[in-house]
Amino acid sequence: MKLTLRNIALIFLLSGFTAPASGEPDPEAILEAVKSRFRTIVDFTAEVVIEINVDFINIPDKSARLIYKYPNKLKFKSGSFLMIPRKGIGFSVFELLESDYSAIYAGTEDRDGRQLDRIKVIPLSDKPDIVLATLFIDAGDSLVRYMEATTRKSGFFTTEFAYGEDAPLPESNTIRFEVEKIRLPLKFMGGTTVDKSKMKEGAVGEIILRYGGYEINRGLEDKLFEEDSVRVD
Amino acid sequence: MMGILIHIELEKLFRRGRSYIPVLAVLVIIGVIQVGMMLDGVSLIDFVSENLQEVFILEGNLLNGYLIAFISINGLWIHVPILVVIVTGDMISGEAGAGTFRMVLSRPVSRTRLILAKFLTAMVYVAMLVALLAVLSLGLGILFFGKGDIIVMFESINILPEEILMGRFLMAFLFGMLGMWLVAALSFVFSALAENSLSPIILTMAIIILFTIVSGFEINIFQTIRPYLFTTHMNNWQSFFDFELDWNRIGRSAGVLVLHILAFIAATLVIFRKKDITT
Amino acid sequence: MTALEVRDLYKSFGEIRAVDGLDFTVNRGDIYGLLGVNGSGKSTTIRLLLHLIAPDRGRMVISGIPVNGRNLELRRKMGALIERPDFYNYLSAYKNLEILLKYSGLRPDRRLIRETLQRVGLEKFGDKKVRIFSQGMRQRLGIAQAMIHDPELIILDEPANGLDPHGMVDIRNLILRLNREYGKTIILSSHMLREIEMIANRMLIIDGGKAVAEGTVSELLQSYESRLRLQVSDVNKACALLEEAGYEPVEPTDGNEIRCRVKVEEVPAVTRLLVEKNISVYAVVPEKSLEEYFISLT
Repeated sequence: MKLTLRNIALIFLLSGFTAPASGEPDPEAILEAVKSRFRTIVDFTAEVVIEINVDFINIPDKSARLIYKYPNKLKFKSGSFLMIPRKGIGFSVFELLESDYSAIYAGTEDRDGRQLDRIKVIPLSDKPDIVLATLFIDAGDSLVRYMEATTRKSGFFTTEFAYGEDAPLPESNTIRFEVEKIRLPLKFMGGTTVDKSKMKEGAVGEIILRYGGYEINRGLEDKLFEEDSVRVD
Repeated sequence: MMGILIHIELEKLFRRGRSYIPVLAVLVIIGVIQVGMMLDGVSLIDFVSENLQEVFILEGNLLNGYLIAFISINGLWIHVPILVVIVTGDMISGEAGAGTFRMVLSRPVSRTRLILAKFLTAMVYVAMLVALLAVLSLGLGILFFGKGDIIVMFESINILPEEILMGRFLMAFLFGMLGMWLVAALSFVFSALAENSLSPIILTMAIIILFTIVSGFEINIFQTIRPYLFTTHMNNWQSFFDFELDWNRIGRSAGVLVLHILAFIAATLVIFRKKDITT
Repeated sequence: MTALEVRDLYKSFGEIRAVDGLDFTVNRGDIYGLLGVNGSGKSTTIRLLLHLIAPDRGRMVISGIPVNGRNLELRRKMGALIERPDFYNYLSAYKNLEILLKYSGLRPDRRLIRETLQRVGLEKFGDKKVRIFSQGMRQRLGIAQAMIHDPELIILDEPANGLDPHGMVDIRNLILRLNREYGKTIILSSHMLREIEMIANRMLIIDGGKAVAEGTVSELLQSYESRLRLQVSDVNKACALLEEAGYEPVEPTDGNEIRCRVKVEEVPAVTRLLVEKNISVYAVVPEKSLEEYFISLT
């Protein structure tokens, strides 16, 4: 067996855990409930406002139209320039859950006045970029409230979901991530006055996406996602 | 009389072939940049944004007229002073060398008014050159590449939305014009001292290049004097591409530039009023 | 009435004293010659009069108005051609004159400009760029710009430079007409003595920045022994007679001519001497003019 990050995580977790103790919730069941709730959504369009808060990036809030088809087709359309985070867009969790994975129940945690089930999800194939995810699920309404994920290429990020009347579709999600060594050809694009200390390791960025105007299950065709298709890993 | 003097100076300036060299240079350079961007602009954008794309998906028309105008101006701005000085550096010394001051100053013409008329004419010329740069870089850029947001690295990575860019560019060009007026004024000082065309051009550019180098070196003593160098303040046209405009900083720099212009012109007047016309 | 008065004028360039205590007066209506070799201070004096350079010391008054940097209106009364005439080579002759008229505070008058060009013989070249002008054409244009604004006082520095003999005659006649018909006072600076002698009524000889002689031509020559050329019937006898009478040196030339040095007032006596001794005198020609006088002084 190759000593990959995924496999090390698997060994570590399996060595610590044998079988769910009696009385402990079944992680598979919890995840299945989440998936079932979301599978009612085949496709949707929504208006989204993207707010980016990164130390050394200044960008005004941008509006875009989002189209989505379960489980992994997603496209943003806008008349103006958009910077969309590759990681942590809320719907990528469903791509993870539709792949082969192993789930381990890791207890509960109180966050924001809710008791949430912690489930560790380890993908069993190399296809998803996420190598380990921790989902914080409100079993009462089968909604993922938080996700913490480690990826192959882009490090660690967390996502927080807020829901409103459009649940299981989120009202907003907030993605937090570390900004690592973004190397920029500064001389090309302006002065050399960027404060490089802001780009040091450990600087944290935050992106908030606010959704509204959902139109659900309108039968979106695949070809809508083909032009300038944008895949979110 | 001042109006007549300015009219004469404008007539002399625009009837002279040399005055069109910078105009031609701007036309050619902007044209070359536009063609280059048309042929290979996409790969430039990809190169610049390559690492940003590891974290973000970049959607939208980044290769737009505003971005090309920004790249053009950023690259050209060190060279525009040369184009200015080619003409303004010759406005006093050229007449001295050609001997025409003998005829002009034997007329009832005040030396002070003559120099002021020449400087006002230089200001008009500079304004025209900067306006041409603006129209070509922005106009052709938007015509061929359309509009869109731009990514600018100035103290942060700023993504400036399309809606505010025309205003920002116009303000940046106006500020840049102030900087070029300063270059013209400095060239006048040397032009009043010299009797040939070349010396004022070389001396003016030498000062600008020296000050620019000193500003750029990360050595303590240089950093101490940096705020007092006019080249530092000339570069603040870039402040108009900050996310939030810092009017204090802009106002301060503009004030420093204006003071320098007044000082250089005052020096030119002192030199020229006392000068013996021996050529 | 005095057109120009210069008193105690000094100007140095470094250690070189270019003008050294110059005093002279030009009367209204004079054609006043400034004579001197190259580097004697003529051009410096002219530049001082026009306030192109500032004096170290001294006073210059034109038509009762002191010459300084403030009295700009004085320059409206003056026109000058200083040394080599330089123009805006990339403009036409017409345009140059138009601009200079504007500098004089006058409206550019198309008829006036054309007439002025005609007076200096450039009527066919008005629309040509000065770049292509010959030295003589530039000289004519230089005179044109000195007079186009109808000044009272015209200063011409080497006006005949580069002109052919026809040109010289034209310019000489023009100067005389400006003086006699239009009443202009003219200061004429030259190292060509013949030119000055032919038209100037008064002159100043400058050497090393100092005035060495001033007065009318005849006044200056009166005190000087000039060389006389005599055509006589018997050269040898004439030579002997003149030597005996004390007119030294006496040089026979080829043919029937002899040269001897006499003062102007002694010419009748010389002629009488020869005639009384039965020597026919066919011609009496004062050979020298200002030239020897000038050389003797400088």
